[in-house]
Amino acid sequence: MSNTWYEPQTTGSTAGVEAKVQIAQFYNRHRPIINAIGPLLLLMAMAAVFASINPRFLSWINLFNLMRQSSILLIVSTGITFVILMGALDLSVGAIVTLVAISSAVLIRDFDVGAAGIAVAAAGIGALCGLVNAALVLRLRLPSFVATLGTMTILGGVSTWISGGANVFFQSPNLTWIGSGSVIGRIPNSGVFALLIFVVASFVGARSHFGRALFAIGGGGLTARLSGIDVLRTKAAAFVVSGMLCGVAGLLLVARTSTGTSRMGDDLLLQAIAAVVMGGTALSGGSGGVHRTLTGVLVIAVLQNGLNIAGVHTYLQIMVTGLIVVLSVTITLDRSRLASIK
Amino acid sequence: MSGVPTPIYTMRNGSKRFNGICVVEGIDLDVFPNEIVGIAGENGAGKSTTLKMIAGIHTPNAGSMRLFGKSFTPTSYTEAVEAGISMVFQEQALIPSLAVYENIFLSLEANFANRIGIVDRRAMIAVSERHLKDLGLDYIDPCRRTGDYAFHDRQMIEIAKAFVLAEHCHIDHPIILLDEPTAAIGERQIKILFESIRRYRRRASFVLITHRLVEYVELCDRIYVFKDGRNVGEFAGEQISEQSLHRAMVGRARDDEYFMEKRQLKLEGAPIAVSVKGLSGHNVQNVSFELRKGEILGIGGLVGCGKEAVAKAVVGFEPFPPNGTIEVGGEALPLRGRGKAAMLRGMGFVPKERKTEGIVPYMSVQANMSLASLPLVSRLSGFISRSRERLLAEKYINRLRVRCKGPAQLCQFLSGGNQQKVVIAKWLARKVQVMVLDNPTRGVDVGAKQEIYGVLRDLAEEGVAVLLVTDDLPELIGMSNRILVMREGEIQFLCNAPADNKPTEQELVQHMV
Amino acid sequence: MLEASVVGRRDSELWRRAITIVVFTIAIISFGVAAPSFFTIANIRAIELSSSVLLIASIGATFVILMGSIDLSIGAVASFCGMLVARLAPDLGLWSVPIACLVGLVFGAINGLVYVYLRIPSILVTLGTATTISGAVLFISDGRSLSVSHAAVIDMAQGALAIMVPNAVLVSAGIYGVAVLVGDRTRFGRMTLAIGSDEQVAALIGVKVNTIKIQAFALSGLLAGVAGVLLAARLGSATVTMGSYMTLDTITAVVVGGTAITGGLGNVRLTIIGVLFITILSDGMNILALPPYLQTIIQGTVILLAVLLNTNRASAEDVK
Repeated sequence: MSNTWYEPQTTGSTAGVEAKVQIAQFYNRHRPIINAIGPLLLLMAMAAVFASINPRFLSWINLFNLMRQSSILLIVSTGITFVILMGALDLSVGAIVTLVAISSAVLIRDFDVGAAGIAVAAAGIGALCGLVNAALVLRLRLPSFVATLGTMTILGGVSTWISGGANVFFQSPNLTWIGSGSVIGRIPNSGVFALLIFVVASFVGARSHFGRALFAIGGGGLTARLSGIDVLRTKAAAFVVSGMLCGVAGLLLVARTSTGTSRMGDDLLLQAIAAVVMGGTALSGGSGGVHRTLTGVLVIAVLQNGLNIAGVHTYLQIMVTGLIVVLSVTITLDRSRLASIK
Repeated sequence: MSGVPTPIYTMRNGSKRFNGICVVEGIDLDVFPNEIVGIAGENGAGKSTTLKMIAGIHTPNAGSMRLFGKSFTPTSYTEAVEAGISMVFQEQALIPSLAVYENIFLSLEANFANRIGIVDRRAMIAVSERHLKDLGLDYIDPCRRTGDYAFHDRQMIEIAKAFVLAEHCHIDHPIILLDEPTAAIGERQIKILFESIRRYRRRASFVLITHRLVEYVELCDRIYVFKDGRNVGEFAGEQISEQSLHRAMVGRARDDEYFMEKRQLKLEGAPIAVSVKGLSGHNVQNVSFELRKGEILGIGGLVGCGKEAVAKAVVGFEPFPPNGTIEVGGEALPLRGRGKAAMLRGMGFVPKERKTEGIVPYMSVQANMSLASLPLVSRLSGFISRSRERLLAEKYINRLRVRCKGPAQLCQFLSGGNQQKVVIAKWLARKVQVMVLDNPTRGVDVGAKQEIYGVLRDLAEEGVAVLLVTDDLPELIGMSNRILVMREGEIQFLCNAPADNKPTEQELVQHMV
Repeated sequence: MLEASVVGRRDSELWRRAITIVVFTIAIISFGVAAPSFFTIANIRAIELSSSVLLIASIGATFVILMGSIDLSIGAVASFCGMLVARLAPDLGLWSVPIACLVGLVFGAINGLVYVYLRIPSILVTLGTATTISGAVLFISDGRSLSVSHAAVIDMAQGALAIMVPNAVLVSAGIYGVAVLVGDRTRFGRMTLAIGSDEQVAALIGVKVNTIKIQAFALSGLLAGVAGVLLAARLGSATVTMGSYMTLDTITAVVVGGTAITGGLGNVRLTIIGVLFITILSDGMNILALPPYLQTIIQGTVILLAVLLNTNRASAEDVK
């Protein structure tokens, strides 16, 4: 017996029903391919449009630029994928990025911490935030959606407190080199770094016991527990990984601009969730994969970069971003898991 | 009244296809006034689909239906309700946070609303109250939240709802469809339910689906037997017996071979695998017993007698009764982290709720099978090896004859029996020493049931100790070396059940009630 | 055993209510003690005004949350509608008000339509539309603040038909009354609850799930629009992000009121408790001159505490 014990009514002509059935059959048979190709086609279409508007879009300089811009989003999205895979949500990612960015800036400016120290501090602060989320969700048993909504607000306040409400300027050649320099040819370091994290995370998500446990928890928590999986530890680890990667992203973000500004990472929340969903990981958890997030990130990055290069007005850019995020989620969302959409 | 009653509902040549695959074909079915009709068949025989066609939830692809002498082509459940058919759903179609009366009239509020759409609460409550009283359910308060009532009470509320809806639509003789009403309730509640059905049949006709043949025999006037989506027999009156139904359903007679009783081991002096001493708490009092290697120990009793709690305590599935000791291989299991410890000592657990506790529906067969033994399919570095995982899955797919497209198929698409085999394979992969099963054949079709019994016999022959908690009496008697009967949390009765001298159902039942 | 569990649940519900109200009272008294200006007529009027704006927006959010969905575009819609009134008032006078509210309705309906027919989780839909709409606010205002120059529009919020009671309060009281009736006594109210509790069951019983969902989002958009217009009228000017606080505040108010964030449990009637609570809290903190960052931190903590108090929590392994 299947989970859906009701059948949505298809009223209308028999021919229409037959056609619908055929489409459904076709979709079911080729779903993996459609889900994989859909976002790629979208990407290519967008690239073609932007390149025709401004040929500079396809230049090496711009492509490296694109890589640099998308690196931070890629790291954040990779982190949040772990949380979404187990059916939870982390709304505090943007706030963590901001907090880490600002506190790194303050640490360098006021305490003159070195590059290595700052890297440890950034990852540590991020992980600590993740740990707080984990404690709220697992100890106090709050739904992750609200728990992280709360920490998002609180961390926003803490960031303002640390920065004193003003921009924090600092100078650190080492950090600037990490954020904007390049070791391999002209390929930006941040891009290499992000890809490295992404590849490792994909492997962990697909092949490690931790990754498998996340899928099992997302698909059926009780089964996971009864199969000997330490559900609490796995969940906590996912939140910590998400927080830590946000910390790394925050450091890269502030390294690029050498300025800590309030709310600098907040936009990443929508983008990261959208990227994960576009990649085909279900918000209900248990299906998808870390490796799939890359496509979603690319769609968003190409969109932003392309709009910039095409010279679209800033206000219009904001409007279009929202629209296209909804549109691309429409195209790429894997709805097979969404019996009822909330 | 004429001599020959006319059916109030007929289905002729009813057929339904899903995605081009034929699920039922050429079904003919009649329902007469005041009749209780059964639809019997193995899993996947098309019983539920037929019921849902009657209820308007599925629209037939071919065939015709007539109700009260008129052509009947419902396109939604609501339409069927308005015409006088309602269904009591297995999963229950009630909203727990609404009051009872609100549930009864859900989606019919418009009939109680004034011009601007404000509903008359008092009228709704009064009507609900009257009906509940008529049906002998005056202990149910229409204003209380539905979720506050126990499962079987909610079932009665659904039946009451059917009568209210019928009256509301000016139908004096509704047809009420019951989809496995006894799947989740205990013997006592089943008795109450059946009594109510017999009482209500003066005012309604019933169509019943259940997994237990004995219930058809007990309740039904007439039974249709389905096989592979077709109508293969119709039994009435004297013809109805478990044997005749079973023979028609699976095409073979039911005999002692079913439980492979000849393979039952004789266990004199086998070493003790698990010893439970003084288990108490959670409505369980002072339960002690020993389980030997190679033994199948059955625990029976009514729902609520505490037998599930015993299973939970043994495997450490929280919450479980906290007091008392459980020794596995001479060592006591800890109270904290018992689940993990039990697993490490070689224990396997096949839980009652297959879909939520046994499998992860959205994972593949191979991932489900390896879920409890990831280190076994991993390479040195601790990363899962796809090829090893696949080999493991193929081994158990062959051994347990799991019917699936391959190790990569998602578990959600498997039938109940095959899902259960995946759960068992998950533990076989760990080479368990003790296997605890809670109703392992619930909702499993007859063929797969026997295969599962075969696996249990295999396990016993390999020296695995098996603890079998079950509501199914024939299974309890047929499979067990020894039988424990529990009542109100205590062990009431313990008997040996050697292959040549099995206790009868009556003997056990007298200790249960 | 059944009886015991029922009584237990009732008791815990009473406890939660009681705790909310006790904390509420303690907060009011301590503000009054700490800042004498708290109990002045001017301050009470300020509380009345800001809570009426928030109440209107929160009512819409309640229905959406009862369905188990979420509307994160309320702030953006409110900002847009407020800005639209400021923009149109010089030319159209009072007519700008219904137009702005209608635009809110349209935004809400779009949310609902996209959510239902494109089958995208509401959190993503409304995050997306929120981005788009806040871009649109910048677009129509060119990024600047506008003053509301039409007296009649301003009077709508600040004037007083009855003595001591600003019009905005009357408006919100009226809307609240109707909403309570709708929530308790109409099909729509029942249906939102049924959908939030179990959508498949609701569909089976004959609830027109899609229609109800679209209606709920349209209502939420409309009320966000009304709240935005009232806010602009109250402040006498419209700024680009003036409504953005509402997104979070409405959710907090609904949850503090006792509606489950997971849907299917709760009531519009309760939302007023949450609205008053957070309005008084932020007003009190303002009077005590707490720095803004501390106010934000406290607000986040309140969200967490409210959910802690009001959610029927699953076991730690089941929480999502």
